[in-house]
Amino acid sequence: MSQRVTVTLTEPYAGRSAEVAGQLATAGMIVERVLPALSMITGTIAAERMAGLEAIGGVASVTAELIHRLPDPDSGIQ
Amino acid sequence: MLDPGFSGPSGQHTGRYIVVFDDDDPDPLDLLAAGGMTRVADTRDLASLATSEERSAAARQGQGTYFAELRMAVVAAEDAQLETLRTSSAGAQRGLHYYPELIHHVLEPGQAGRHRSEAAPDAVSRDATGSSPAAPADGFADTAEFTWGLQATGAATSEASGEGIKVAVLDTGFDTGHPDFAGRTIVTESFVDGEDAQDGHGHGTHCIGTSCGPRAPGTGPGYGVAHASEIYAGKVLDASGSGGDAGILAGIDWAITQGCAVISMSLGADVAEVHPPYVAAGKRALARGTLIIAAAGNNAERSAGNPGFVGTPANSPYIMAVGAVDQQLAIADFSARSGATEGGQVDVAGPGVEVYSSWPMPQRYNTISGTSMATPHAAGVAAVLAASTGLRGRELWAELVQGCERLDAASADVGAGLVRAPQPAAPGGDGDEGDEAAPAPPEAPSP
Repeated sequence: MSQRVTVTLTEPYAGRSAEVAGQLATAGMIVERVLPALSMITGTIAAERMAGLEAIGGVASVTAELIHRLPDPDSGIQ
Repeated sequence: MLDPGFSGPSGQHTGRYIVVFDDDDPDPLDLLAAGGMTRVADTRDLASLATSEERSAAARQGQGTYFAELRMAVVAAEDAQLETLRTSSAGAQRGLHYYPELIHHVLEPGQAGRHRSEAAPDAVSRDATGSSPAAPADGFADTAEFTWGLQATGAATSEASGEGIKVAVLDTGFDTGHPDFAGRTIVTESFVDGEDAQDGHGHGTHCIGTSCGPRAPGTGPGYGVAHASEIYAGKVLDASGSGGDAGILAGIDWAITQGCAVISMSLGADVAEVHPPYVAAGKRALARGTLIIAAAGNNAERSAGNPGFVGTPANSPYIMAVGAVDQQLAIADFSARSGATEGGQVDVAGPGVEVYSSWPMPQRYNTISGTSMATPHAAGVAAVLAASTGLRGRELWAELVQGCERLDAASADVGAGLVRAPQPAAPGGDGDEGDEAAPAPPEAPSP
């Protein structure tokens, strides 16, 4: 089963997100977005390979994606 | 200018005056000399004297002392002499103000709380409804001119417009065809696969209306705080109101890169644990001069004894969490209370009950409640403060918190209190920093 993830890079790797994205891809991650201002990379990976991403240089954390949900438009409380 | 209310009862005024010079005044001592006060000692000169006794003696020989770091002087002069100087062409042009020097006393035990109420202690802090003394007796109400939220936040009486400030609202998109926004600078981007930036829900258009909408829409009351700001509508929630971290973080990255001073996020997940990506995102945004403001959450049901908790992303220590107050400025039943996690506190509050704002056409307007509605009030106030002060990032955060109106509600519910837009300077007074022509904002950080 694949998992959507957010990979946060360490501060020293700011500006090297493209390079780390390549290594993440090699480790099995399908990279969807590289976010240079935040030094983050998002994408999907097989759940069992997720932990392996943390060993890659410059990776501060790998986090499973959360879903944020609003009430229906006709709800009085938003 | 001498405010009669400032004089106080006789015996409280020392007979001397505090003269306050404009921050940019080229030569305050020269201005005093023009008013006949030629013997005013400069603390920078007095500093060369060895002892405090020598410095005091030198100061006493003259007409007063000028404090260069404060750009103020204390002078022994007549009211008429200072009034003549203030109203002279040089005094008026250079923004001179003066106030009687007052004698301050240590508060005696039991006096400290007297400004609140003379009533018994258990009746001091709040009445049965938890309402604030800052609210009108019957609470705020929408008028033909302004929503209650614009009145309560002071936006209705503020001259600050947020002009020149880019405000990102990351939400369900925006109805770009809404007639109330004709002629505005609007940039849209969708981070939702398969959907353009058009609002398919309504929530995003409502939030953009509150933060950036018009003060005088032509039909119905004004409802927008930063009414001249530039709108950056990032769609990160789909038409059903749902979205994941990937789109939200992409929206934050986009807003930072575009140079947005403020990001408003009326979204969240009812997760009490801090979600690491938003810790890093909030911190990195602040470092780039972008303040992220997010809804505390609607997971409380206080009437049933459940105070709720601040969810993610608002519980990031580097993201400002906004709670919702009602027309009496009491905490809303649904508004989440500060949680136990670091950063899981409510930072400020905004109007969030029965909030009137824009809605996708053809409905045009809608009135709804939620911390989602409080958040864009705070974001709008942040934007007008960013424009009027030039501050960004952490300094803007501090300015926003400093300017909040303290409420009787618990700080765990409303943080520093109700967000407030800068007010026009009182005639002759300093007032708030509400001058749109004030210092030029610093350059936005390069992407």
